[in-house]
Amino acid sequence: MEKEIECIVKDNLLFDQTINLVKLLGAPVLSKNDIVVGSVSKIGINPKDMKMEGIVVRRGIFKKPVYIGRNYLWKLSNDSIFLNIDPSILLRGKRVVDIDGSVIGKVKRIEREGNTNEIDKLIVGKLFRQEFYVPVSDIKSVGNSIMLKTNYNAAKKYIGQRS
Amino acid sequence: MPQKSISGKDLSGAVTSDDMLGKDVIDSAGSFIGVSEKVFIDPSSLDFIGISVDKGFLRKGLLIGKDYIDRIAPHAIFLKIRVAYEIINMLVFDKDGKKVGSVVKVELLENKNQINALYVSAGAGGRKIIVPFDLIENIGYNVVLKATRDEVFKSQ
Repeated sequence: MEKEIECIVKDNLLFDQTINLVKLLGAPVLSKNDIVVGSVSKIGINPKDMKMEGIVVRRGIFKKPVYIGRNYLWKLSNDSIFLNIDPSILLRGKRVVDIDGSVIGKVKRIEREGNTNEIDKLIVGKLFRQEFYVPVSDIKSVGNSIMLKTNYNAAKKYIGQRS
Repeated sequence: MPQKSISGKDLSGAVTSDDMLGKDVIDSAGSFIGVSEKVFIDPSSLDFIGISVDKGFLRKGLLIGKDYIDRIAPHAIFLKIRVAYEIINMLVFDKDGKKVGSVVKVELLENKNQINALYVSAGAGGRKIIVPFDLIENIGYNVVLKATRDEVFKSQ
């Protein structure tokens, strides 16, 4: 049985009203559209104002962990963290479909504006085709696939050709 | 070779059944639902009323009414809707982000694409709970509920 905690506070929340960061480690991180991004592995605290500055999300063995800043966090609970974004890095590997319904390739890389979540352009590749980039202005919608406003025809790649 | 026409209309811009069959069917969320395999025509009015979609080996096909079709493109058929059946196997979280289970069945209102309730398999015990539509906060890549896990279990 857990002992009762005596509180010494002044103008702060009582312990029961706060989130226990230790419990938060390992909790799932859900994006704006309910994608399970991964689980919390580290929590960054700002040494100056002592507020939480961001979280490191573990995404499995083969994927790089990702640090998500506080501005992109929407809600904390003892069981999970909700984001106010769908991290754009999750677009990697998604199919890209042009206006004619043709799958023109898959997202190979995402170029973002600095370290923010804003997409600058997508680099799309397909087998035997040269990689090409799709500016964000050509994207109609992002879901399970990336739908474009226009049609694309990537140049063919020949054996021995440098990209 | 040019065909003779007795249609009384200019059919040059019309879509033929060949243009529709064997095409990928993509819903409004960009999910690939399957491949169109049949075109349905009302025998009395002769109007086009829908398509059937082959979802692949060992998966049940799906009939989609023409009202749910957005447009027919050269390489795919685009839908206006997210197909409610695509929710099956999605994870379900309560309002605090605690995992409740995964969707095993979707109950629709009549034959429309409107969800009436979700059947959720909760935990290893195989307990199934019914989540009415009113209890759903958001459906994205997974499902988030308006209530806590305990509240959902108590309501059963």
